[in-house]
Amino acid sequence: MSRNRLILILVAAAVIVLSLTYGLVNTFDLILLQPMLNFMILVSNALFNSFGLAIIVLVIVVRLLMTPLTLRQLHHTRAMSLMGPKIKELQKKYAKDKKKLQQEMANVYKESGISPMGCVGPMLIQLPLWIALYRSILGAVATTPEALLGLSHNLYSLSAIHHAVPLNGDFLWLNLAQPDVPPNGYFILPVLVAASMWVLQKMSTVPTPDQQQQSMNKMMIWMMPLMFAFFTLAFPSGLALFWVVSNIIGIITQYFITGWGSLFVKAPAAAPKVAIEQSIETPEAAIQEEKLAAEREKQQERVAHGKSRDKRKDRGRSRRTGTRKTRRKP
Amino acid sequence: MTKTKTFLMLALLAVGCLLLSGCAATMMGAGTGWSGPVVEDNVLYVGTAGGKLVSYNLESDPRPYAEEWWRFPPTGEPWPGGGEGGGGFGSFLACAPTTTTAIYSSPVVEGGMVYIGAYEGRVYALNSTSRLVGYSFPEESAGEWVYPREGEESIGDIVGSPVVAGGILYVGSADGNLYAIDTATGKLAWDRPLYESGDDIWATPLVDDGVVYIGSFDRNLYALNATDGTMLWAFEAKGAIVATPLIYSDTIYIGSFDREFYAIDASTGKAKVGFTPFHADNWFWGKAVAYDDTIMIGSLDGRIYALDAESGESKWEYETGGSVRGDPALIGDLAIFGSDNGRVYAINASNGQEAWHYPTGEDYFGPIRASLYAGDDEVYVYDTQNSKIFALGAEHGDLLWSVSTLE
Repeated sequence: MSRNRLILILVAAAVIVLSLTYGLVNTFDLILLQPMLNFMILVSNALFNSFGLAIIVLVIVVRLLMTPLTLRQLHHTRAMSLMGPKIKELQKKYAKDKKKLQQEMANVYKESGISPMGCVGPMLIQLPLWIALYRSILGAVATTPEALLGLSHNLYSLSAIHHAVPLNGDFLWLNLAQPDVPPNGYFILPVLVAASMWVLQKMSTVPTPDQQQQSMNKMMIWMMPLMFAFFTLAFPSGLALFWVVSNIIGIITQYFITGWGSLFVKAPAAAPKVAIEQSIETPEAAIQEEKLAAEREKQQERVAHGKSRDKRKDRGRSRRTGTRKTRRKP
Repeated sequence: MTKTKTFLMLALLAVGCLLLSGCAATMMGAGTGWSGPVVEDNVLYVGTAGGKLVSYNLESDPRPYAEEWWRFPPTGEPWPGGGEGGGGFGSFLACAPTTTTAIYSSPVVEGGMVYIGAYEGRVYALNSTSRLVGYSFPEESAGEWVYPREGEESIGDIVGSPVVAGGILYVGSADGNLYAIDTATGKLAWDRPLYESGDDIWATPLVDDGVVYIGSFDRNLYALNATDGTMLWAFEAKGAIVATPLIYSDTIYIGSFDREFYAIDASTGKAKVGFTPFHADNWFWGKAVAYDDTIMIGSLDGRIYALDAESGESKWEYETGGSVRGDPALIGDLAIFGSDNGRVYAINASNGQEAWHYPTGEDYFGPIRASLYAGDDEVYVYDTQNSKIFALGAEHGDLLWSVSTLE
């Protein structure tokens, strides 16, 4: 059994024992919520009593801690997208033979070294962390007297923490306990949330000639930013600040993996049916198609490069000397 | 997918998100309040968890019971000038009905008028008779008013209870101001707030001998001249102060969010000589009571502490099992506290022994966060979670009557 797997099993066992003893919610609060909440209050105290700065710092810290998982997830997602046309071909070919289709798809995944469920693990690990961060921001902001009462039960017995509460909710033009809408705000955060999320979505979308896939991608690119923008109209702006900072870090991470990705690449317009059937291409469509193909090739290279680097890391020993210490330079 | 379909899907999604965000904010941001009951002239007044001010006639023939007298605002109507339900974007976004506001302050009754602060930032003066008859509010000829008036912007959230002294109503607000309102006119007594502190005021003021004592989130307990707001002194703790001060033998006793309980010389504002601040495991939020040189105070750590009034030395402590937030009641030598664990405890002030608790057996109320009210031989308790008022006999804790505050 690998060391990582053993650690995972031990952690899972500890969580199960604690959950059975104290209940699942209390265990979650004990392991994740309280450390995050108290850390945030201490940071706020250290940073000129600024809760806004504390939120920014905490998001950066959590994002940094999750970078290995995020990178793995990004690689996986992109690889899955690039395999899309191949999968679609197989689905067409073996439409009537489900068993053969399953077999062929399994072979394709095996050859490429990607598991279709490969991103579930990182997501499962990240999700509780994000929930804890979200709840600790809401808990620290304490928008009602009941919430402040509840906060008192999640604080560690440190004077510095008790002296800092209730936190100062003022940050720049914001009241972090209130949404950034009139009369308390100016709609700036909802716009920032939507814009940053749109950029992130656009950068991470893999261009595809498939019209249906294009439509779905287009909807996702607009749906998520709009959805979160509407949420920020009603939720405390502390949460909106968390989303903006998180998106910006996501953009920076994405840039280092794929560059600007599809941000400046326009999806090709839907070609007329007749033109497609007769294989007539307009000059503009041909240029776009070339750009898309070049972009897809670049993405494939980056994924392959990332995969081979991963493989080199996973390999404990050098072929040449058989020792652990040897490392090939990328 | 065609452009039209995509556009329609996005439009539907936008509407769904608007509604969902309003609902989410309502669910997330709405408090229920913890107004405590008050009894005057055999009439009980309380701000309910449903956001109404309700009065009950207390009868005792053939046996004690409470009969609802009037309710304000009437069913289906909002509080005049306010009552927004939730969401950050106007009441039309909230999924809950927009006719309620949470009430944290307990009512004050003076000269036939009932005064109450609503969380949404307005103070109301109601004439009991006018409300019984059902005149439209405000019936100005009967002395009714609302501050600020309808159409004017509300002041900050009101969590503490108002206090009336010498024809002036004093109330603190989350905008950091202590307001002094002329009870006859409903206008500011001196055309401005009495005092501006550095942070939210959630505490209930204490007025004694021409001095207003008020705590603030800025960690100060202020002593102000009640007629012009001049600051006489300020005592600085290490944490926010939301409790109501107790004055006993020229000494102010008050706890803070720094988990310390202080004794302060009322005339100088300095720490009382010889009194060592008492340290608990969690915040102090409620008011203390005094009996025979013993100061009793509940803490959010779940314990009731009895301290020597001179030295601060602990005489006894009692574990309730839940946070003690509300103000206690003192009847004879019994100090009666409500706890977050859903029980009411009567403790003998002399020795810390439990006289009774209610409910008994395996039964519990919802968390008791509202302040208790002491009658002559009974104590009134409001269970906000279950919307029920209970009257318990002070000597044995027997249930005298209970009534639901639901409409």
